[in-house]
Amino acid sequence: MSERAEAVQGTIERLTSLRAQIGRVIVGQEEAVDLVLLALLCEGHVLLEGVPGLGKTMLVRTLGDCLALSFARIQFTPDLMPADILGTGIVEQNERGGFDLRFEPGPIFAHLVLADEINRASPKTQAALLEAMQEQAVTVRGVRHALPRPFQVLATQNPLEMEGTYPLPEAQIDRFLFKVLISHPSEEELMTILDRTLGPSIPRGERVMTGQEICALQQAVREVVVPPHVASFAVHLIYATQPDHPSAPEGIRRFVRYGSGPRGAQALILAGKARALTCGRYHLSLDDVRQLAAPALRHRVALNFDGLSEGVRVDDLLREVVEKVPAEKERAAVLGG
Amino acid sequence: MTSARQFYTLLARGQRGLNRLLRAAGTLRALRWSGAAAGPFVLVLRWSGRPVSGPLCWIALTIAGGATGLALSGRHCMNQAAAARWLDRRLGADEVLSAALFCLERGGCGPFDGAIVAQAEEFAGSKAVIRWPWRPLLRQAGVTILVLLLGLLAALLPWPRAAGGGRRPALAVRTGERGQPRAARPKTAADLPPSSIARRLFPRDSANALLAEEALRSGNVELLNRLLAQAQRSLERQIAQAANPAQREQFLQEQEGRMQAIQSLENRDGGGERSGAGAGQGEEEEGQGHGREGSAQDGGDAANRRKPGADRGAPRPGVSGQGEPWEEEYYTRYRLGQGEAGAGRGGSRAGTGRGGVRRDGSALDPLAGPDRLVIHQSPDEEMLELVLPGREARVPLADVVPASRRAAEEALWREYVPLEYLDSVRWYFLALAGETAEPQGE
Repeated sequence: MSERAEAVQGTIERLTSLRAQIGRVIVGQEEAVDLVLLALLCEGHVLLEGVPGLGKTMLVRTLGDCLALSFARIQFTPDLMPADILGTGIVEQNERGGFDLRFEPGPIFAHLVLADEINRASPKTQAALLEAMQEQAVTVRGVRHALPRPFQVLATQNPLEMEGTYPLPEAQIDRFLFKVLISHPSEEELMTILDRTLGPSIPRGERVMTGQEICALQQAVREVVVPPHVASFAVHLIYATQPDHPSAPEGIRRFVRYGSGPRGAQALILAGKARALTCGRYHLSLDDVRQLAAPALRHRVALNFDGLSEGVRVDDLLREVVEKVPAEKERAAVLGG
Repeated sequence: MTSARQFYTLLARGQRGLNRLLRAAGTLRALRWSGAAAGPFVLVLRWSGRPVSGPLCWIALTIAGGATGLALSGRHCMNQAAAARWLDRRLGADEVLSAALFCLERGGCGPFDGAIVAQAEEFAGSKAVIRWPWRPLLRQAGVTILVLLLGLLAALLPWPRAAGGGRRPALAVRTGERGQPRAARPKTAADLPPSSIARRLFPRDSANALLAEEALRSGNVELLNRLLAQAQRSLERQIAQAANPAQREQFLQEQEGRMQAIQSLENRDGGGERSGAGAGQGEEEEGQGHGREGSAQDGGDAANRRKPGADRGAPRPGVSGQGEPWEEEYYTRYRLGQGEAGAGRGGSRAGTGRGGVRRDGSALDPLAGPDRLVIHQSPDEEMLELVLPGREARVPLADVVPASRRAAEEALWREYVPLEYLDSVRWYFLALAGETAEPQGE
């Protein structure tokens, strides 16, 4: 094994410890935890969707504790201004008795940012956050301030309260790598939650990795090998989500207004690489792409009126796409698959 | 980079086995299709009477199809990348073999290429046995065998024979003399129906063709002989009067064609009762200076010599009291111009001949003036007769009769003439046409 692989292998093994540490605090939600970790390795951002009280803030805080990364929580309100997120200039007196304008960084200048109820803020404020996410930097009064690395935004949308909210437009939701659904815990998990949180001490995650190691893993993720037929399969999946494409299944044609685009293909491949690396492989496999199709594409496929009125779930449509798109044209009849 | 020997060995083994399977599948498919198609093809050949051996032909076509399939299946062989992908799926390798091949092909320049190849090498070393997909191939083989058996059965089916028992189909190869197979005998005039024979004998004369057809159907050899003699004389005159060599050649070809048809008829009938065609030398010959009445009478007597039991078709009116067919009497009666030189050349010189006998025995003399019209409906009744007028007026019948005949034909077609008179009108003009075809003068 090459030196590079050996170096990465050690870091990868600590990811398992990281999961275990997070598991000490967060009960259940294994898929959400894995996806958040994968997004972190991909330098991607995550849109968390779930009702309040399911541990979204706790997840981000625990992740920050385990990685020794700074954590910030921004509660979006309708009166939140961009400067409240990005930072602002503060006038202060200098030593000579004059006044200088000093930039005071906003809460976005943290490694892990939890943007809570992002749909409650005004579009202007949303745009400021999303721009920072995209640029990995903040420009205030012509001065560019780079955001720390690793940097990840975990945004939440409250699905209960729609009155007075500003849902993110599809073009901006597309910037998130994953859309993770936080589900209710099971009875056993809820019992465990009660036991852990209502006891004399509340568990906290211990530092397992550093931010530099995360950055190294982020670099390693990009070096993972992608066989050509796997990339082709990912492309076929993306085209199959578009209702006008000949390869689109019946459900897509009937219930989808528009499908995923190039960002979806990038998300599939990049996230697949990260998953392959976390699984101890240095190459992307078809199974990686299949497993990440739903979280990477569910927020990139918009339902039409028929789909919305009939209550069609995008995950079901994506499952149909994954099942019906073949890995490649093969002589299955002869070779038996 | 680490060694990849076991990886390449596994890849080569997989590629070899897969290509053998693909060739076998392609060959089976070609055998199946060729065997299925060859069966109906052989059946069609046998039905068409071709001299083919059903089983051998089927076997040859099937083997040829299978060989073609084997040759063409080589085009669809798998390359290394496809074999690696198949092995990944078959062995559950999570695409490590495909990734390793990709890394090796690009020279192992990536940071993880060595690790991937090492993983692939380790995987290849642990997989000694490849489970080949025999089941689909066996399934194909079973279907192919079934189709081939059905095709062979179709090729072996005995062709049902006709109810006549032993009668050969029209296109079957018949063995000629000396045991040599020969092609089906070309059709001669003797093989044709009477209507076709008549058209061959009289290609340009539909009136005589009708008469000849009637004679052939009824077996009236005498009438046929007379018609042929007249036609021969007419043709000889036309040959002599041909305007150019091409026209003369055309007449000669018609003569030759008639001779051949007559020869074939003679061969069929064994020489029969007919006289030579084109001789025109029968007792009915015109203008020989013999007694017209006698000849007419002879012709009438000759007309009595007909084939026993011959079908005369529709009953014809005008049969004489002597029982002679009315058409013979009619024909004989109006063969004019006998007995005197320059006369009796028949219808080409209307009204100039003498002779002709009415049914009541009185002489018919057109020079005496127009005679009365008599309608003949039955043997006891009178027959329609139109005696051409003329005292000194000499109007060639050839100029008068065709137009009259055309008018009569049209009247017949348009059913202007009562049914019972159709034959009378027809025979009359046919007789006149024979008269007008005689050569003029000596």
